[in-house]
Amino acid sequence: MSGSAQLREFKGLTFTNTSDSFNLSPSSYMNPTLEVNRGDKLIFLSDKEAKQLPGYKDGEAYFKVSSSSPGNKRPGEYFKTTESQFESQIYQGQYSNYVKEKFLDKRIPYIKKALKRFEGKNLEISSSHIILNYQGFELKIKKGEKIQVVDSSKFKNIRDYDPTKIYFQRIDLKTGKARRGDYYSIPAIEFEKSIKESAYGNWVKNEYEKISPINYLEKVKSVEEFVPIPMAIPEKKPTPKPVITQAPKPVNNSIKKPSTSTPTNNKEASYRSVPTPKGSFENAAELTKFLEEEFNKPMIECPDFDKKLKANYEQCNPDNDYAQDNIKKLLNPEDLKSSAAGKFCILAGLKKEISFRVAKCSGSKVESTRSQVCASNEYVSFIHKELTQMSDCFTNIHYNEMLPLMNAESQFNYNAYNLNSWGEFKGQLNASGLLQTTQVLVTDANNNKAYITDNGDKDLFAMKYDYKSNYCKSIIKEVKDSPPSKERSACDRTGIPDGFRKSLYLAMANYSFYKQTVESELEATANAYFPGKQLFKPEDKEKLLVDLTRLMHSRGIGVFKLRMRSFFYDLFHGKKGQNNRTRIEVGKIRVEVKKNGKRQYDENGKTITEIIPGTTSVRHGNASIHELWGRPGFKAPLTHEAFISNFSSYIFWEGKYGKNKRGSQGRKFQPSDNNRDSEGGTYLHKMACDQKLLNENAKKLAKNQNVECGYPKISPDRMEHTQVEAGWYLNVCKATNRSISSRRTCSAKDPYKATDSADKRRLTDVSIKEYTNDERLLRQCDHESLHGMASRPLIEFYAPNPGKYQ
Amino acid sequence: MIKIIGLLIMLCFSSYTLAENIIKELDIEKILTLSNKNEVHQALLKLKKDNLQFNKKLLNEESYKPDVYTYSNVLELILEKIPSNLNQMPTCGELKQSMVSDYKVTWSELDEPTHKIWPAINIICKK
Repeated sequence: MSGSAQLREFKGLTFTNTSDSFNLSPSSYMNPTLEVNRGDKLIFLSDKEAKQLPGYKDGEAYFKVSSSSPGNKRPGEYFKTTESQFESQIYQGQYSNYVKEKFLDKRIPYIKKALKRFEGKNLEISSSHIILNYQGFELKIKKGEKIQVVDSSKFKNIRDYDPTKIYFQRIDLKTGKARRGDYYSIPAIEFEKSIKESAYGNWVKNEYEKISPINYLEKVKSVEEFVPIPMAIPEKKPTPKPVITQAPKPVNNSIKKPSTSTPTNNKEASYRSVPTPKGSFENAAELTKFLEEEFNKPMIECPDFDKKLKANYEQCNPDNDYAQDNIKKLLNPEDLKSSAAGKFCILAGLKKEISFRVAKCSGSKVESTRSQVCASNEYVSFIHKELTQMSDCFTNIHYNEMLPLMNAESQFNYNAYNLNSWGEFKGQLNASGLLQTTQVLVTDANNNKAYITDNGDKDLFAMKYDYKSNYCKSIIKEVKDSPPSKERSACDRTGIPDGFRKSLYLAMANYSFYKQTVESELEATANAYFPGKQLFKPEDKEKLLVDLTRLMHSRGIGVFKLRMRSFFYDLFHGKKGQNNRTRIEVGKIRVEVKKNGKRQYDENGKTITEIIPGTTSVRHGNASIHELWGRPGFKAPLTHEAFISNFSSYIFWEGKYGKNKRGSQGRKFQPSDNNRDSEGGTYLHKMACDQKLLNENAKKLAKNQNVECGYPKISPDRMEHTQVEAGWYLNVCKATNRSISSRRTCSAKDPYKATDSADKRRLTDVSIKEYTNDERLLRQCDHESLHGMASRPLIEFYAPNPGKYQ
Repeated sequence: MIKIIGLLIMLCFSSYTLAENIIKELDIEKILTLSNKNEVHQALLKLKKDNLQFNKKLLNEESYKPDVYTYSNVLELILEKIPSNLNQMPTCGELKQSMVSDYKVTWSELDEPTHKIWPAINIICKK
């Protein structure tokens, strides 16, 4: 396959640069260098266009560049590249993770297949050295040493297994045998490159070239659909300057002027929700499958998004225009013109009435008000821009997953805040900002780690963030050099731009850390109970991560970890014991010795004491849960829906966390019990209602049914059950019962199974339709109306008379 | 007196039983006798390591000890906050608040062994 044929596959497609910048080098000293910035687009010319350029060569590909920066526009200029240069840029992730994944997805299977030829054979290094990865370190293997290619699938269970790498063992020069236990790796693309450079001799090179006729780009035809949404680049390696030579200007003036506006279908793509494919999939094929299933929808025309947005922006008035002046300084004309679908979501959230207070600030003086910030073009564009850029700072966060959480926490009000209403910090700021988080300080930051403090506490929270973007660099520097004050003030935390940006960074960094923690917990759980097998359905993994991170955000990292570990412990160890309430002897305590109720004293007049065993009570869990495992719908690999539903129920039943409220201790409770953790158990169900409402409203604003706010999308089945639950509670349980207790008892019974005296199902299809079409029910989804939904999945293990709720 | 009688009643007549498994692997008592900052720090780091081993052992055992398991998990979450470099130790107030915010409860509501191990942490955290 010739280079030109491979490159032809890209013709007519658009690639968005996701790196900070790189230069398009001149083809001769007379041509100036063009710096391509993040967000700039490289548009491949079609054959017809390219062939009109003077000096056109079949083996090269030609671009025009659409720059987002006004001072960098180069209309009428064209650039060219060769296959290897272009491949190198893709590999370095300069276009987007999606392009890279697609590229690797096609490429790596060919390389692996070709390398089968060498499995078990010793390859002697004939160049000066090669560099392999060994336990996270780069190791030089010198000339004369030997390595052996091994079947990579043998390493699938190692913790840092990477399907894009080739694995080796090193040959011990003394024994001539492979060293047991040790393994080395190298990215497949690099290994192929080293073969082609004869690093293992000409025989290996020739054999490899015989076997590997590659057309890895053959099916990469839908890149354009995804490219306009830049994704962060996980690799932290500094980006070498790629070489793309400038082509001469076209001779034929009939060629259209390069468009500086976003093509229609790019605009199309920009409103489509994108999941979070960063680093959470087992391999590129899995990611591709996931993306295709999730977003393989027909494209629709929506040339009027801009018009629809403009028609819905609010006209500001003196009461709500308090942020306008500051925001205007931070936007450029492109920001205001962008008509991304995310803007409809933000607008929809802002248009819903708020139930909390917002801070209107004059300097540091706060006025507590319910007068929401003006939902103007400027404000919506500002939030959209900041959220996009900030999400790109973190390699495990995507814009779309943040939308539902921000909607639930603040409805996109940058100045939402609340004060502590009880305890020693009563009257002080509790939470503020888009995510309503409380963390305040970052005390140290270096290349890829930051130390974030929580509530003024230094804590070792290491985040994965993409420090390459200028925006990220500057915000990290700002937070480090000038952290928010320890004296909590709503104005200090929310003021635009500084307070707002620092708080948003800290909130997202905290979320990023939480998400990493959830991922580690899931991995550790799978390794402990199901080593080498799938405990969770791989394609559901990202959805699980997002939902569990939200739960962690709601309940606190400590409570989440304890509940999660306890759940699996009950599930897999419960059958090995009983629900004993035990006290653990953890050491000794000193107590006063008394006789007849009187203290005893020694000759010096000091109280006599003695040491006795100290015990502590740490009571959690429910051994009976083990019966759940293996039932239909609850066996490995666990689906997202099954796990979320049962784990939410576990959180509910195990109860509120705190003194004397530590877990169920295997005891039985009525579902109406006040100490059950209703808020935690219903958190994700309630968020589903909020997300659907946000979606419905955004669709109405856009007059477009394909607008989706947020990831993961709620499955229609779960959404129906949630709305029926709320409808049933309000129309049946609440309407027919006076006390909270009896309403809860009523809602603990499955509405789908409720029958009348004639044994006929009470919930009619008509009611189901009514409930699912009733938008008011989405607004009334709350802890109380969803109480039954949280209690039901595990009710048989906790309620004293579970039959009553069947 | 009331305290001792209460303890005896609890031990003899209540449904509680002393756990068979006294956590010998996790000798917090011994750490509490230390006063030198470096020694306490090293002992806590060792405890961190021992506790991880202990936790792993529990998961491999054919037994169900939810209380012991939770105790070990709580300990793990506390000791995660102890940096390997003593100079990076946060202030005591910051650390205390961090532990509270992990669970969104008050200090007194935290699970054991939080309060038990706190005197040792209090020696090494910055004042």
